[in-house]
Amino acid sequence: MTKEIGSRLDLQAYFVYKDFEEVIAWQLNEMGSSLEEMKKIGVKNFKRKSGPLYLKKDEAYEFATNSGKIEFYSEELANLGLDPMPVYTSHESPEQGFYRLNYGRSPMHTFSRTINNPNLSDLTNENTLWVNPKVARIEGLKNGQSVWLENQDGIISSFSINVRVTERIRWDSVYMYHGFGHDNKKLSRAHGKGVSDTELISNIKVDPLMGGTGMRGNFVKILIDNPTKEVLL
Amino acid sequence: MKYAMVIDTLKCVGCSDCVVACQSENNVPIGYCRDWVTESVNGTYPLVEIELKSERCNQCDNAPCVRCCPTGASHKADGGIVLVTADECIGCGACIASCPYDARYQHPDGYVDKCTFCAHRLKKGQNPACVSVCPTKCMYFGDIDDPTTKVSHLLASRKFKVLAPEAGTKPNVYYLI
Repeated sequence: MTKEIGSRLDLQAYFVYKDFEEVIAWQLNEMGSSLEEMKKIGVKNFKRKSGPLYLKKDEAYEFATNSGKIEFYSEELANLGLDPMPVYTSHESPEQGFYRLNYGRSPMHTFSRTINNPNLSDLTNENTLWVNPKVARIEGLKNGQSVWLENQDGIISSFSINVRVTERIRWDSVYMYHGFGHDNKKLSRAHGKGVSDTELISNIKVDPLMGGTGMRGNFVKILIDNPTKEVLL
Repeated sequence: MKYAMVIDTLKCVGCSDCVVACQSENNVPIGYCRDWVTESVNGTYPLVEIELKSERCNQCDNAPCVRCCPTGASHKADGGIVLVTADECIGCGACIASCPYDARYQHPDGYVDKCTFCAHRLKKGQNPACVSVCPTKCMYFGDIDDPTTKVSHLLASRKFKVLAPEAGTKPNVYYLI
């Protein structure tokens, strides 16, 4: 099928075979087997070229480190000016009036790609802003109330999000599901429902040692009034 | 023989796969459901307990929906399953009002619809759709009159509860706690 589509797009040059059987036969030949043989035996085991997969008991083995052992204290990292052993660094805390923006997944959806599915959007079609009852009292929030969010860099959410007051969240943080708040109108069921966490994540932390990224270092302020209202009027 | 469902609340993650499986297996129109997931939160942060439960018709031994049905459309079938014969149902809604679990709904076609424990699948020796798709395998289905089944073992060895025992309906869906 791919070959046919290819040839109709004038890409015959990339499909220099009759059918896929020919490709498989060639691949098997290159590996030292053949299509006829594989049709007969089904599975063929080759000898490993890179040595055994597991260590034997009490086998002496050198790891690819300076000492040849697993290193808890790494001279190599110390020479590079990095912490030779992990040192705890305290994370930033939100300023007064701001809450850490945590995000996670809805168990019904697979990221944002199932968001417009009729059955799944029937179950969950928008995300909610989880806030602790203490926060709700301080901010004057009620369950189901629409709010907007502004992050530490002044980025305001495109849409509003409904508040969910719950004990399932700590009081210095707010939480929302990832994958909502789409602004594509063709997503007929998902457009404009909830807030997108990604648009509020403007501060991405990078671990200088491993390169791992941390995206939960963003803080948001809860806006009760529609921030776009004045512009519209 | 009596069919029962045993659901492990400690394993349920609340993904609602059971709901979608049921909707597609039984052609339940979108916006309606024969099963659903509830969440209850107890305590205050940081000492919080969350219980997730997949709920459905409890196929009660003492079913108020069967007793109150004026036409006999609601009836007890083999294995203790409560079924509704759509042709005999006049859509009066008495059963919906009598159910302490709110397990029935009025189908857009007029009749009342509910969980059947997937009776059509049981005939083929298959589990109900919800049980067969559960990704955490938190749901078990079988005959509780037979002491050798998995459901009987679970009820003999684990702590469990039923919903609204005070209603006296003798439900057949058990929740392990």
